[in-house]
Amino acid sequence: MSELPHSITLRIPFSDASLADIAKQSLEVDPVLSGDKVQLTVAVDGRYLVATCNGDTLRMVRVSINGFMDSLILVTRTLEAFA
Amino acid sequence: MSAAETGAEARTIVALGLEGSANKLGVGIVKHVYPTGVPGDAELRPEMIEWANVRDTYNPPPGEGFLPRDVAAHHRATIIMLLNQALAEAKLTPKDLHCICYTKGPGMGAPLQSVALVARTLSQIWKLPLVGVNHCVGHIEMGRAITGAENPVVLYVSGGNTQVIAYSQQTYRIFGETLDIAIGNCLDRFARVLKLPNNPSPGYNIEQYAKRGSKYIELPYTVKGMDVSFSGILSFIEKLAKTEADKYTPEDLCYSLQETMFAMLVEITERAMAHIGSKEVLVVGGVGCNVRLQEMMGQMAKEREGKVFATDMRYCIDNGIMIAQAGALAFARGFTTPIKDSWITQRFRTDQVHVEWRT
Repeated sequence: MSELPHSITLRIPFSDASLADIAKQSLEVDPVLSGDKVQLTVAVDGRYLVATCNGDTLRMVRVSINGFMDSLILVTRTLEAFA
Repeated sequence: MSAAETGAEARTIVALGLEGSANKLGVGIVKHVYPTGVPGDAELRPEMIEWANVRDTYNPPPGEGFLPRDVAAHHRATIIMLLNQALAEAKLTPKDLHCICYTKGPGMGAPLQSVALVARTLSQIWKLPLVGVNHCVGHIEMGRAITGAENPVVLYVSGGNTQVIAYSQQTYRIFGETLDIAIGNCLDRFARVLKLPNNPSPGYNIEQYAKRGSKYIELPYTVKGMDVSFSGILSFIEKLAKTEADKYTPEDLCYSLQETMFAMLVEITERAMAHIGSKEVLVVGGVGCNVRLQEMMGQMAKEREGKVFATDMRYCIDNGIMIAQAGALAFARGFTTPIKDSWITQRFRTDQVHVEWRT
């Protein structure tokens, strides 16, 4: 695969590592569409969820991160309500 | 035999069901009781108790359809409130649940994904297994449970699907289906042409108009073997409504549209009944609450000395409890969906499911 020139990394703090891990497992299941133009990976670093997005164009990165944020907010609200 | 005689222990399964494949978001809780345990080789027929079935519908303004992005935003904004409402209605805590069932497909991608995200998160918080459910199978199992139909030909008619289905060898087999758009899609889109409100649903408003119609306008009747086609009828009637509005009233157009399309469904359903030798028809899906459709099916079934089974709006329109119902049956047979496999799919045919809970 060719190099994806644009990249952004988000570090989202959770109250503890187990919640960050729940978020990771919920979020990493759905594949990103147009997979060769943009990549999104999630990882856990301590109590931080680390999301990295690499893309062909800035637009692709922005669209992917926007979608990711919608999902992330839903997961954190679910954690807030029920965890 | 009683539980004491067989020595088998009773088993209870309480399932939470989450549905959001189209513009309805539903949360349901069902309890299944097997007084003598889950039988190893017989069809599962648990005692079913409905504990909650709540729903919230996203309705765009008249003249507009619902877009996946807007529907997903609705589901995300509403789901936590609906979950709390269902748990409160059932007077349950998460500890009382045994599994979390969610719609794996088919349906619109973004709305399905929003609901799956919540299902996955809840499954981890509450340490409960996930059960991915086929939406169409959910409709069929709920219809069977509510009506008690034994081995019906199933007519599944909704905004996204039109199928004639019969059960055989642990599969719900598709005998006939639409070759293009779903019947509900056709009705919804014609409602948009007439600018009918989307509340409570476009199809309901078409039905009310149709009741006042009396003049039958001939429309293309497109049955092809066991399949049907609706897109040509839609183009035809759209053109009539737009260019010859002075000649035809909206009431007569709605009436003729319903009569034509429902007659097509009656024809293929009757053929399926004759083929498998069943005297029962079960109508499920959102269009299934149309009283005129039920009446026409009933008349056909009566002539065959059979019977039509249908449910009301609580169960035939997309809902959460139908997902819990089908999921709980699969779960009783040991089926679960690991988180890593809990992706959603826009295409998931009814006959792709192994119906392990029937024989």
